[in-house]
Amino acid sequence: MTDAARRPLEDLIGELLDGVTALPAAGLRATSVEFDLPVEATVETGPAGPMVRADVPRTRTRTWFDRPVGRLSLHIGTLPVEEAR
Amino acid sequence: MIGETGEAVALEDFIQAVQSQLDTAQARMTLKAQNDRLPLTFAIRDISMDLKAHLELNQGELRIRPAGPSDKDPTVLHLVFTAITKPMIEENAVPMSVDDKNEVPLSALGDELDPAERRRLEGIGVRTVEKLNELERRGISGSVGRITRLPVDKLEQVLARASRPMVDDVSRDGSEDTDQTDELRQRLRVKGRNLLRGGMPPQVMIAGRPVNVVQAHDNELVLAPDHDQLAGQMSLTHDPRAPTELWFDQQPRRAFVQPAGNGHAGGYGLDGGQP
Repeated sequence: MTDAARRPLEDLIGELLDGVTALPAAGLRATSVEFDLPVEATVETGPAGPMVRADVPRTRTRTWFDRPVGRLSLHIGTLPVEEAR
Repeated sequence: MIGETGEAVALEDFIQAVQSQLDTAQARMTLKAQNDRLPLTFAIRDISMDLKAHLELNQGELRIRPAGPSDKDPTVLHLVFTAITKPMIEENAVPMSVDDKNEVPLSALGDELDPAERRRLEGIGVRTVEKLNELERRGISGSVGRITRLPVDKLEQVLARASRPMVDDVSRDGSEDTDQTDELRQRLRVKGRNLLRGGMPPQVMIAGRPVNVVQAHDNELVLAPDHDQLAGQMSLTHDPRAPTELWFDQQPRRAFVQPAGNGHAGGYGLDGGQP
């Protein structure tokens, strides 16, 4: 996987959160979700400071050209919108 | 890319970057819930990252370099972030007032702060010039210098600059038509910030001569210049060591009439003025 294709960390998390929000709200509702993902992470410097890029590996097999895989554990829970402001 | 170039970043800068990016993710989620009129949203409770990296200690500063392809035996950094509540922030942080949308960002200080220094100040919530002034008023600039690794003399220099008068605009009261302008009642309006210090206006000089200040507010001065002080160098001084100097030109627009017979009909005024 090339570095150019790797997303900023907030985009990865945003997509995970989007996926959870899309769950049906009728009937039983999930109140918390935990993810434990393998990720390839790098840090990119720029005028606005360091930016962490993290994305799931695209391939199952690893080669000498791939970065070592780390892990990202994310625990999210529901919150009233007013409280999240 | 740092992992490939071998350049490392300070651990605290890395942690701040992650915090900032998590805040961005959460803010996006909240906005989405508000726009979709959802009663509930999902919020990040905890997040942990196992990052394979190499650690370097450079002059007492811990720096990390994410492991690249084929790097052997990297260190595994286990970073855990958790949501903290507003009372916890208030209990543990240096209290400072909330940013006002009218306040001036640190970038307005120009080259006084390089991007890295500005980022370190922003990392502790100092995003505006007013916040910088607040540090000085509270007498905590030394602590802030230590936390942000800004040298004390550099911070003092920036604070001095931040509290100097800042001028956004100079304009002249009165008609543009020079024939109707009473030169004895000409007024210059100087708009900006920090124009009062301790309730007193700065000493104002234009073209090397003092000018009377007839009205003074923190964001506006009204000056009574002589007729030959409507252009030139203006200097506003609270502290003789740090004057604010600017060039301006508010002289009445003079019509420029070309000589007859040169092929042009009539003349034209500067800036669209009438001949």
